[in-house]
Amino acid sequence: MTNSTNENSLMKIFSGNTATYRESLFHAMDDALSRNPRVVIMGQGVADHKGLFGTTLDLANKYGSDRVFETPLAEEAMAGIALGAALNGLYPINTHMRVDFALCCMNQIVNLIAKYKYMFGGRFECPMLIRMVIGRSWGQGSQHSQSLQSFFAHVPGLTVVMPSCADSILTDYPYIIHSYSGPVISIEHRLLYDVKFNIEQTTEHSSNKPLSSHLVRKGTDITIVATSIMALEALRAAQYLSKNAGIECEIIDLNCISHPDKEMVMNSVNKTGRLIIADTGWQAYGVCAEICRIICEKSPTSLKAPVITLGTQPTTCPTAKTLEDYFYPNLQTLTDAVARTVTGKASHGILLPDEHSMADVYKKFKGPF
Amino acid sequence: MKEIDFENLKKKAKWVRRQILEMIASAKKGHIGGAFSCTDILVALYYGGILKHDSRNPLWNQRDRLILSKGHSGTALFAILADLGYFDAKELPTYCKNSSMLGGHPDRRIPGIEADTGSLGHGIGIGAGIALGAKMDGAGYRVFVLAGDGECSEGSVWEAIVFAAHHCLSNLTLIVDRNRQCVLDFTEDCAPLDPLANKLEAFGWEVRDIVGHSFKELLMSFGDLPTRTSSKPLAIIANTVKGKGVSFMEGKLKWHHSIPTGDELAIARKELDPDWPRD
Repeated sequence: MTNSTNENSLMKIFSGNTATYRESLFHAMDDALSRNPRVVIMGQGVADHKGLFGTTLDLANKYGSDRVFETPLAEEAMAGIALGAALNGLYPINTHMRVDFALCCMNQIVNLIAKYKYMFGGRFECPMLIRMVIGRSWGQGSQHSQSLQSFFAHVPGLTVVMPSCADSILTDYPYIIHSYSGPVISIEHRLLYDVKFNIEQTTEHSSNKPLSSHLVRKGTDITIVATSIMALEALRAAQYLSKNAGIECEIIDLNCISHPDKEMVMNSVNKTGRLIIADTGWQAYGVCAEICRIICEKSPTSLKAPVITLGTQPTTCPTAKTLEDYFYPNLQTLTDAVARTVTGKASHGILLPDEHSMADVYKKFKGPF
Repeated sequence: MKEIDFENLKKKAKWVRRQILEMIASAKKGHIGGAFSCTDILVALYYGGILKHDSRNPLWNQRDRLILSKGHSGTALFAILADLGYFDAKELPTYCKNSSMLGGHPDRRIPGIEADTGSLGHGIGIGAGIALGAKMDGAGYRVFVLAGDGECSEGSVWEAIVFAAHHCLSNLTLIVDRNRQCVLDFTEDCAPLDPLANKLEAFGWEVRDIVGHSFKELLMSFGDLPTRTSSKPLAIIANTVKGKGVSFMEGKLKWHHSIPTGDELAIARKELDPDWPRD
């Protein structure tokens, strides 16, 4: 979406080191408040003793309760307040402990925040960051675990990102907060919070551009376009298949859901001829459908095999763990999809990993990734 | 008011809190503070002769409807419904466990539950809709909505409050569990609701402001409902203490959804049941 890299002191600090997703979020929030006195963080839990899962811990004490403050259960009003603040020179960061809670403020987000610039001849900008967290571990259920990136990305005027790793947070958040003029929705994944990541060595030729898609693994046999935690699952599947079946997957972490790097996707699919799309949400009318649209419109002859899409089952999320494990895609379903696409056979004969629950893995796994 | 055995109500409330404690400690999940704060209100409604209901016929069409808008406190209602025979009390220890009927929030598969709740700010709207239907049908049952004060910050609450007053839903009673906490903050520090009574009155409701742990006040405030002639919906602000019944939990933000273990659990058990541990 952009070709410019902003001055990013955070990446310089972490370059070549490790950081958890949670630490990256905390430092991004701290950096925002430190560098710009007009940044305010508002949301449920941001100033309590848990500090929004540790990502705003003690920042109210450090920067003052007028800049980091609790909000009541009044999501729509808070989104409107964020809009008013943004129109008058503040940079609001509005948080939702669950993506689901943001549904209460769809009118403000979709009818006002997204459209303000366009409806009034470009005279107004609404720079703000709205952080939303996907709940995921067993039992989160139908109203605490939804993955609604497609809802928001569908609307012109909104920029939607889904950071899959610490690098993406450290690259995107400072740019969004300090250099970007529009409203951005970032959908974070709760299961990633404790995962430790190696931070890419920052150089003049660093591959990560803010608000862009990332080529995270090169391969020749198949392209996997993935979002959020599915990008990590794709990396695990790629390692497994390379070792056990000699299949080399190319992986694109879509990252910027609303403005994916179409050229990157097309170039990869033109090279491999095969495509799997793995999303954290429902497939119908979602990210999976959108990537298919891009290929069908821009490069319809590139495919040697039918596309396979992976996402959550077309139901509400169950709370029982056994059902939840069927609801979500996992390493086994992803590996099987790759094997079927590359071999062209449902009975491909490739031994699949014996793993059925992503939540079990990520709750234990601490990284580094 | 007929003769009420207040001591028995107090004992029952203690028993309900004990069940809540055991359910949440065993499941290692649940919202204990809010369940404790609304226990006395629910005990007054169910055991004080206020609600018309029949546990042998949960869908009796003349039953009063109770909507627990603050669905996070479902454990309190589950314990009472089990005790009254809506379902087997053996279900209580299965709360939030695999294959259990009792999930983290009320849902209508559970006998005696009128609405799926937990997503806050919706109970009053649902209650107003049911009350409107009852009026249109000429039905004599009443609708009670037990809401948290934290959720009263939601705009949808006030939209429903305006609607109920406009449609003269005198058969609707809103009980606000005024424990003055919302998630991990105090309501008056976060977004003050006071003067809540004046606000509700200004919106066209009759308001009664009581101590939500006093059975006498609770039953007094509910007592005239069958003969009440006002056309206004009724709001009862029940001033309560979050975590009520366990000394170290009372008024402490931590106990919104913390789980007592070890010594904490032992102290809580002892405070709720002086005979614990039994031989």
